[in-house]
Amino acid sequence: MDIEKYISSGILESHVLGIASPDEAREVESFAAKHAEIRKEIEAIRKALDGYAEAHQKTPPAHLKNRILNEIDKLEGKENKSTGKVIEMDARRSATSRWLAAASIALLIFSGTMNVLQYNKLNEANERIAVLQSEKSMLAEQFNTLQANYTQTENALATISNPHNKTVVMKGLEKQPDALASVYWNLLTKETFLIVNNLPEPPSDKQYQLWAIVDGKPVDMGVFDVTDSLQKMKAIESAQAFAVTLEQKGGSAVPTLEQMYVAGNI
Amino acid sequence: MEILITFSNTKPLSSRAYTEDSLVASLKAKDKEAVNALYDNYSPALFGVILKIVRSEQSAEDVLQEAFIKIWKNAEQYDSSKGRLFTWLISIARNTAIDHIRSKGFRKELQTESNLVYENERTESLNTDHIGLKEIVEKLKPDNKEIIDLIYFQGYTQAEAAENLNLPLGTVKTKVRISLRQLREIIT
Repeated sequence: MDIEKYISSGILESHVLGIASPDEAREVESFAAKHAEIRKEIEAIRKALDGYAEAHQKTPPAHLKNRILNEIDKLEGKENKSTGKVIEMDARRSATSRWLAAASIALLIFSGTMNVLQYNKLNEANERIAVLQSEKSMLAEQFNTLQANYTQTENALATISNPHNKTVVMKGLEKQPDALASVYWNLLTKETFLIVNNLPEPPSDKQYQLWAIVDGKPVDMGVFDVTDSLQKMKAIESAQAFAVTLEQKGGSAVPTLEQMYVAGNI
Repeated sequence: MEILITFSNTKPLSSRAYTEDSLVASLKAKDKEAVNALYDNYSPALFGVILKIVRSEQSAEDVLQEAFIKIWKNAEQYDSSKGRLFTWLISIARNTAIDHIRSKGFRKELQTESNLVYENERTESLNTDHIGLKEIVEKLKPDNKEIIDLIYFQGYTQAEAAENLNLPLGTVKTKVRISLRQLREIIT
């Protein structure tokens, strides 16, 4: 670039006078940054205009100084009372808010990560809760069963160990010599209870039936299933013996003597 | 270009000495003592320029006040790498005054105001540091002065000046350059 030519183009004068276009002004400033001669030239033009301005100087009236200083005082006072403090707080607030912004982003990332972790943990926990709940209901069931068993056993024990009881052990006959069942007969209440100690499982269309032998005649005491529990049978006023036969399901009016499994005398 | 500014007049607090840099720093720090010093040192130049533009003492006082408020408010915008403090202050004064004469209110004011102040009525500054206006006017060719005044003081663009002077734009551009060159020769 021909610096001499640029200097003599008049653009520097326009720039200093403030009448150059924004594009021209940028151009001048960028050339000025690079070339000392241009800077020197601009400085000289400024000095001339400053000198020209200064040549017009006139001392303002004496009262004006206080008026202007008071005006600025008022402005300052206002700033101090309201905006001044606000500016101060704004600066602090902006520092604080920048800090807060950074902190909140960090917090957001942290909380996002935590959310994912917590979500996974929650799912795990929920699964475990489901497992535990089913375990719990299983245990509750078992407990209920055990409690029922216990109650049953306790009742059975109470029944069996009743001091008014007459225990009749019915032993196996030829058909099944190792068969065994027991009748507990409360002589006070006349109630009877039966425990199957050992009887073969009957065919599905058959059921065992208990009989009392009263004065040589069989009296129906009811049918029963092969279980571990004490089974309440019919009450009987008096009897000399008890026996069990295998009958059709629901029982028979007359015992089938060939199908007698156990019997015991009182 | 450090200028030592001292002032020891009326106000007892005005006993501090400022360099241009420390004055700028104090001004930016909103130190009111700095405004005091600024006023003492620059108000004649600013007032003179404003008066030249608005041509009324009354208006010039208002404009000077307005200019000082702008200076006070915008002090942090001043960049010493882009020019002297004086240049910045003068440009604020000029722009404030030009805005003033271009406002509607001012035209009415001009119509009713009788005490217009003219250049030849001015009392010249007692300051001997700078070249006097008389000297410049004596040396500067009238049409060169005219074009500088239109652009620098009245805020005309070159196109507006061309229209006002009834000259082609190219001629105005050349004249601006020549006028400033002459001004430079007179002042430096």
